[in-house]
Amino acid sequence: MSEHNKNSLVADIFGTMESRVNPDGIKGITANYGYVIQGPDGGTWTVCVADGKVTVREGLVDPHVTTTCTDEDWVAITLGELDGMTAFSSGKLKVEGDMGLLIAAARFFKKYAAPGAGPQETPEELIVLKQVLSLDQTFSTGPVMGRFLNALKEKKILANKCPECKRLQIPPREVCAECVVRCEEFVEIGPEGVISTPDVVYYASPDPLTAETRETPYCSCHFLLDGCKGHETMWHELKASDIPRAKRGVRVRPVWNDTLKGCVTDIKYFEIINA
Amino acid sequence: MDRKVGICAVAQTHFQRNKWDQRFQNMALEVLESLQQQTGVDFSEDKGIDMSISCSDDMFDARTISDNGLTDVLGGHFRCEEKIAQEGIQALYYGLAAIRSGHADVVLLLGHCKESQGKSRNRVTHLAFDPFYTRPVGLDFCVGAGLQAQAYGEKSGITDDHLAKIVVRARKMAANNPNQPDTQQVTAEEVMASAFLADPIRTLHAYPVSDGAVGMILAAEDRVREFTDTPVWITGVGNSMDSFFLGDRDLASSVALKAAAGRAYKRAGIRDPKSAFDVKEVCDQYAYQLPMWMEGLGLIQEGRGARWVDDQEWDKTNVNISGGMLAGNPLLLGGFVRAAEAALQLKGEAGSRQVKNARTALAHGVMGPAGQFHSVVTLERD
Repeated sequence: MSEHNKNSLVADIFGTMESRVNPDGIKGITANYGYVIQGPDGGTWTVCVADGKVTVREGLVDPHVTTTCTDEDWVAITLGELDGMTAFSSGKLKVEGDMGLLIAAARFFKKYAAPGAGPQETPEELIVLKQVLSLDQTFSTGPVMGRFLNALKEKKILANKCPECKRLQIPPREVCAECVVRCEEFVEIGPEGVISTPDVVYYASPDPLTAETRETPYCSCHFLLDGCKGHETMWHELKASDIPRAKRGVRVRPVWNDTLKGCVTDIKYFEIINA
Repeated sequence: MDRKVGICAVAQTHFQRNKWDQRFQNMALEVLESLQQQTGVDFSEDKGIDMSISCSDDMFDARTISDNGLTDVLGGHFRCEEKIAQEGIQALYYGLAAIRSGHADVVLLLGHCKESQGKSRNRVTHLAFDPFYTRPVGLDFCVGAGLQAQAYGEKSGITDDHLAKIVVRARKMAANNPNQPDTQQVTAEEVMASAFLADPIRTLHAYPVSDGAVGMILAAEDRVREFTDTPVWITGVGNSMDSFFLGDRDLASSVALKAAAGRAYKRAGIRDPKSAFDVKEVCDQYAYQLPMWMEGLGLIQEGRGARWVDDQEWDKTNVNISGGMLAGNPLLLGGFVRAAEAALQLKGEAGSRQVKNARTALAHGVMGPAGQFHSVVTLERD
């Protein structure tokens, strides 16, 4: 595995890493970063970060996270010609292990200059401020949303009905937006139904108020629950292991959490009912 | 003006410390239904509301594009729906422009705010500051007001004693206003014994935390009689925005307010503001602001704020008969409610706080730290 082309740019990138360490960037980090670089100039390396020092070793040595990509893409990423995140999301770069470690890795090294590229102009390093926005909130639910949420505690899904156009709203809202009248009649729907529109999502946005996040990929789904028609769909998640079978018209049922709190996530997800 | 714009109806909820049993849609719906009941207006395509303008704040509602939570209640679906994110009194300016331009005949204005939703409103206004220069050094609207109160106090001779008198009087007036939350009477001693927030501002010098909503129906002159027999005409509007950075400003002088008032008076053809209004509703978020804004509005002589408080001229000149913002109303809505209160007076619908024969009025709104943005509206009835 370590039969590298010793004169390649890839070998030079790894070979110069120890001399390019940015001490602030590796502060507090202890981890082994494995690299599988494919192609004629490829090879395997492990960048070991510990005690404020970096040691680059050939081969894979107990990596906590392993990055795989082609030699050309690795050079492009190092030279700043290809964005690492873009390479990842387009599938050019694959990651195994603790992906979170890679966020810090972007700051480990000073800029790489290819041999013979001449003196680099080093622009003034501009400071980037990292801050987390947090706001402590208590949301009232009111008599309409509150009733819907309370019903979830009894494993019931409620919709409310427009007195004029008769359409159902799920989740219930104070007025029918189309008729601008109060909707005071509640009806129980589902809990089983069919998939109306499924979609698979490959990233997750953490909740800005709690910073909680979710597993990816996840299946964001519109469900048409029994008793509903047309656009009277409810948004929720489909069980991740059912993603390969996610299709319009497939029958589903809700899976409830053990503890019911009166929130929309009392329904853990919907799952496909096996025929 | 090509065609005048009239306020047909106003409605507001009771402003309360914590409307825990309602989300903002419920508060807004209460206001909308009252407006519809008063005017008979609906959302029909040819005769009804042409445009809905809401006023809300993303940070208070903890969601971006906060009007999205309200479009159904506002009748905004498949229609012309707009939002303003400043002081709600701006909605009057926006609605006026839409009607005068001929784009709309009937406009709904509706503002809401739940200050109780966040653990601290100061944390919300802290976020109004930039994260680089001013947030790290602890600025929020209350801290900004503290700096301004220091500067104005030094210039005007306003003391802790004056500030206490202002609060006592605000609570006294609020006792006649069933919509205000803070109607509990206080003594000057109690005010002066309340804890400091940002010297010289004490706890009782600050407007109370409250939840509520307020709205209006505006209509073009030629349509107004379909909805009311007692229209209130908007005769002038004026806005002005001062520097965001407090260090750039002369905090002790109301430069922006003078400009806003000057623009409104010019449009309304008012030469002597001191004698022009039967009723004045001034947005006093903090006690020091009442005399300061009165000077800035040209309603009293510049530099005479302390004397004006000593002489207690406010009753006979009908200043903040509602109790003002000091006795109620959340941020965003302080000026909007002032305009609503002024309109109620001119319509003769102000109940036990009604000023006899009121024909002209001024309403003022303020937003941003230490009076960064001011809006002035002048009103008149037939």
